[in-house]
Amino acid sequence: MKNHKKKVLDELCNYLGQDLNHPMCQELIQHVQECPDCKFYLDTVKLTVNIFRETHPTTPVPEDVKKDLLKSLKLDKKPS
Amino acid sequence: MNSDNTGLLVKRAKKGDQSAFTELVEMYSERIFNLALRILKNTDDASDVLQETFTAVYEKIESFDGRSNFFTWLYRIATNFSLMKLRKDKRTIYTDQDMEEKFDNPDKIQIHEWQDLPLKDMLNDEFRKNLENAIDQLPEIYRSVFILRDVEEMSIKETSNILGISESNVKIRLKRARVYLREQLANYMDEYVKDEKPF
Repeated sequence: MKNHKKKVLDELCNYLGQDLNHPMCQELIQHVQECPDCKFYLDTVKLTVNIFRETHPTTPVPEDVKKDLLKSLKLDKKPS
Repeated sequence: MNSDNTGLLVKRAKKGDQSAFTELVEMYSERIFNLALRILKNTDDASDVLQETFTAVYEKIESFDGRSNFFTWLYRIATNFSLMKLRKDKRTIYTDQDMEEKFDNPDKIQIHEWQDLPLKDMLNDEFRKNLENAIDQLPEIYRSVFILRDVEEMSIKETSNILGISESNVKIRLKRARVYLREQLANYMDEYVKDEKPF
């Protein structure tokens, strides 16, 4: 990787803690559009996040777990 | 989820209204269960955290002063129980310094040609296993930030409040978590790309 790209990637990484589409990233995003290595890098970070979301969908609470929870809190009986 | 409605339910629950507390449990149990499941990756442990969280909330709701959002308070309790459970099982505790040495140096970043693969091609069993292994190896202080920010889509401020760390620390940890996961998956994806592309 060439030196100027290392510097840009370092800056890019500092911004990656933000939302990936945060306005603070605009200048870097512009560079990324023109730089294949940086584009690769940003795209694959975004892809990793997306894959994690796809592979961890929302799971319903199992019925027996729900029942046990309400029972342990003594909330399983309707008030008379 | 209506925050005004939550506020009214919390007020009623604080006065001992059990039906209001039941509604709060029903409104939030799925999110709490999934938060714990994503951190712990085990249904039994996530069920324990769900129970521990609502038991603690039930016992403490009278003293909830409303300065923070109820949801943030609930998430903070659930995250703490999840992390406590995770720490019991982990032999290695990574520090911020360990991760800084590993993932803040762009010299170590490799560029790989797998970003154009369709997402559906990646979601096979082998890939999932690799992803789970990568998550397993992600130190818990980073895993919790990654899950709260990128999966639960909490703001930086909310994540900072839930974890009791500064906003800048949230950003640093999130960056390292994303880079770490990406680099772990890159090793697998390189092999995948080599196998898929004839040279």
